Amino acid sequence: MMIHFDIPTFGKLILGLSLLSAAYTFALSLAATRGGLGLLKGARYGMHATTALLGVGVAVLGYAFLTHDFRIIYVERYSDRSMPWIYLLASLWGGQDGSLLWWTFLLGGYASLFTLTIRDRELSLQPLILATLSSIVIFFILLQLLSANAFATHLADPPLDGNGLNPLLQNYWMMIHPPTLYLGFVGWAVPFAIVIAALIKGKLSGEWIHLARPWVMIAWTFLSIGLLLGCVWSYEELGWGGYWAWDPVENASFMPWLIATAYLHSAIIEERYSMMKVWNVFLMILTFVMVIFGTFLTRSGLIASVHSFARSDIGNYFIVYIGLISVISFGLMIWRLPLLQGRRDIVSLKSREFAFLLNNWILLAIMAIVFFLTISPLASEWLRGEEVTWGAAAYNQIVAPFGVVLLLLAGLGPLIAWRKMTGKGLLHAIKWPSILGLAAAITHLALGARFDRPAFVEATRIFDTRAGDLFAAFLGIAPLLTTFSVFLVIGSVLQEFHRGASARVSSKKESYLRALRRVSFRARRRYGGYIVHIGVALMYLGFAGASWDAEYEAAVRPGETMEAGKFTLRYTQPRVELDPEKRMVFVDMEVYRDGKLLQTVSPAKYIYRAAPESPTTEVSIRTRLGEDLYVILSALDAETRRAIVQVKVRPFVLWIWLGGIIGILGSLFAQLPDPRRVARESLARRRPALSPAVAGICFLLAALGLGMPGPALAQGGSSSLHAGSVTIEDPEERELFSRLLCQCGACERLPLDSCACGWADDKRAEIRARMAVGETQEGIIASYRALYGVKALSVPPDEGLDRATWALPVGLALLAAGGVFFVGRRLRADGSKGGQRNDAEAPPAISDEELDARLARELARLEEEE
Amino acid sequence: MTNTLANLFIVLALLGVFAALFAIFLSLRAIFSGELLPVDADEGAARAALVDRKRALIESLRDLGEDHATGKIDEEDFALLSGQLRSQLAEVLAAIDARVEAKREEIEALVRGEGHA
Repeated sequence: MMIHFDIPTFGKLILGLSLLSAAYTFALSLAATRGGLGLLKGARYGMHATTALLGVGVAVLGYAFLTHDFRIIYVERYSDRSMPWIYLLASLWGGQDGSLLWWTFLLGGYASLFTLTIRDRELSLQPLILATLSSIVIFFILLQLLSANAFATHLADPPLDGNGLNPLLQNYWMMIHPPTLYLGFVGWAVPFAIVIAALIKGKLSGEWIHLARPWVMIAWTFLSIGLLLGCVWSYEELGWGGYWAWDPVENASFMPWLIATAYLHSAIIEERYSMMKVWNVFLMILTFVMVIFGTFLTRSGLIASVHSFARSDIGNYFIVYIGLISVISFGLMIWRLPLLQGRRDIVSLKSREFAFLLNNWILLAIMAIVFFLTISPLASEWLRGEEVTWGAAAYNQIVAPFGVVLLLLAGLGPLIAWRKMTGKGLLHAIKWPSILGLAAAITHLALGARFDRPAFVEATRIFDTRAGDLFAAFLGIAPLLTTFSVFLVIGSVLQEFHRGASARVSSKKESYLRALRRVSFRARRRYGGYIVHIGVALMYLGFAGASWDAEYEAAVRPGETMEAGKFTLRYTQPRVELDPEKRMVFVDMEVYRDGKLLQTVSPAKYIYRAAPESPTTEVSIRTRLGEDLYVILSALDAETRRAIVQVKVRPFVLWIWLGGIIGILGSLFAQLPDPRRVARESLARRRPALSPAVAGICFLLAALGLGMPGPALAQGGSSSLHAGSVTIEDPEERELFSRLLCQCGACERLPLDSCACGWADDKRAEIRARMAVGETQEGIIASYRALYGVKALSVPPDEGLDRATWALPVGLALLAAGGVFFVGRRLRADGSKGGQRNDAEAPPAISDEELDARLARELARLEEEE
Repeated sequence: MTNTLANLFIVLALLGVFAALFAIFLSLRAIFSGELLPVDADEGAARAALVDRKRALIESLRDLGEDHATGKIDEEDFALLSGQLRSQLAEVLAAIDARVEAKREEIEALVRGEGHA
């Protein structure tokens, strides 16, 4: 029996009530700042009521999808009657309106969790934190009511069936990746609200850092998982062979992650030494602003992206909101500058503090470059009425040098002492990790070519300048540098674990393994961070693997074979399977190496009933530690059974996933609550304590279990999402096609060397014909530009204003490098003065003997706690 | 399956409505309780901040000791840096002591019946 409601009206009513409830919470929170505990408790319950109402909205929309209520435009646009229930639920976040509802519900969930976990701590900050959180909720509900109401209905009679969800979104990743990424995005609202409350109250002596810490870790972990899952999805499902395309929406998630990673490091310095207070406040505000900016990029449709939603007026609201929160937040920061003057006592450039500072500058420089390249189409259009586009190759060449320096720092940072280190001490510390790195590099140099993994590779020059030569040269030696850096990181982390354990063996007379366990659990944050470094290093190994990618293509009939490097693939037969939604055409191929059968792979094309004109490409991947064999069915002739098969040999891709998993495990290890501390706090409260970390993990499980997420990929109506494959055999053709972007109007930012749409096919054929009659690359590029404008090129040309366009990232990098040394020297100068002043001014608070005794007691207590 | 799930969603929605109504009821009850923030709410937060600072300094001293033990910093720097950290720790401990002492006097006054209830 079905229960019948007038769903659209009920949904609209619920949205309106959510707005009222959020406004009520906001008003109570503000009133509670005058000291009313009753008002504060009222605001907390108000927040729970808002979250419950938003949950009702989501459940109602889910009901509408499951009952095919096509009166609702959103349901009609993103589902049809043939879709199984799981994808009907995934459709909840497949488009703009529903995903905004999700955004807001998850935000409410975070806010409610925060109020449940903070209980009666920081009573003076709580009202302002709740006020900030509820104000963000209000904005997002208003946005829905004004511009993106998921319950809006057709004015005319509803259609009998819906448009259906884009077939490319109909896979299990759609259930996992968007919710995780969204939890990573929305989670930053809590630390942002904490810092805003601290700024307003002027409580900036470290409370906010401490209070925000678990929420920062939760949001960072979810964002990291979301990014990683996005890479896996792209690689496994979208059939273009890559995992990261530097698409604006991918960048929108990456930029907050970069700033947040910088914050994770610099916050440690403030916690330990009360330094970098302004910087930390700045980073926290910037992270949240970039989260909102990323949401704006995805939703406004202003910048061409394969992920983005259709262009809408929603972007205007976001621009106003970004301006508002930036002015208020940074204004508060400037107002509170006198209270944010921390200790400026970096006493040496050879200190971990300075290494962290360097790390921060590099992360921010990468962020600035990515930001600039991402918005340059928009900026260029505003400045001169002509768009430019930066393709993935340009990003790779510019960002790679910064990435390698960052990896080196990840290796050196743990080896450097806090405060000050002598040159001799530094040399002693880096000796063995460097020897390991050098040994690995020499081995790579000597044996790499024998295993088709040479230490040097030839990189394509994409900028026709001297700087372009330098970028290409760097990419050429990047494999060797990466090998050295990866092993330096591994060596340094292993050395840190070993030194810690050895020191404990000497002092406590414990067994080595027990000492290793104790020392890691005692300082979980530090050693968890080191595990993250190992994970990141392994991911770099995977990234470096792209230097040795190889591609093969062949047209084969059943029984014929094709060669792909050291592999031989034998096409056995085509196979067709059917299910209610689609027809699946497989090509079974046996993979041999040295005559030995290794595995059978079955790449396929899926032809969906709802979109027969756009068959999806389903790749088949043989994954091993050494390389992936990525097999794509480009085309199959049904009559002759002749198949065009593309094989990509992609070395070390598995290391990216393994490194990611290790990194995430390291992050979770760093957040592990101390069981004894939790037990103590529970006893003190006489009821179980709910730590934010545990609460966050429960939140994720609940969200996944109920299928509750948000969008990262969207059904833009015409998006191709990189699907399909392209057959290009000539390297000269490939280089030329990589410089030209598809201009069909739907395949935004896709170069002709990977765009599989019909327009791109025709254009490739036309260009091949021109090349066959002797036309040069330069001539073809020039005519392409004349025809479609500069935005049709994947790298802006080196001339006029465009020269400034591509030179700016380089300038930013130089500025960052110069800034680091300037700031470092200034801080060092101030630090030496500050240190002397501190000593001179310090009052004789406690006698040396008493201090020794109390310090010994405190250290023993700390030891016992850990 | 789809129908069952749809009914489950609508039941969840109704439960959500009841939860929201109950939360609003609790909210109104809390407002009219007239409860005020404890007078020492800020004092408690300040004390917690001092304790956090103490812990951070002790951990820093321990790290410094480990860096010294593993040869990362030499004797002279160790003496200078640990001296600075110890000096800061002494200040924090003295501040904590002062607060404890003030609280003790307040409690003793209450026990003697001199203070406010």
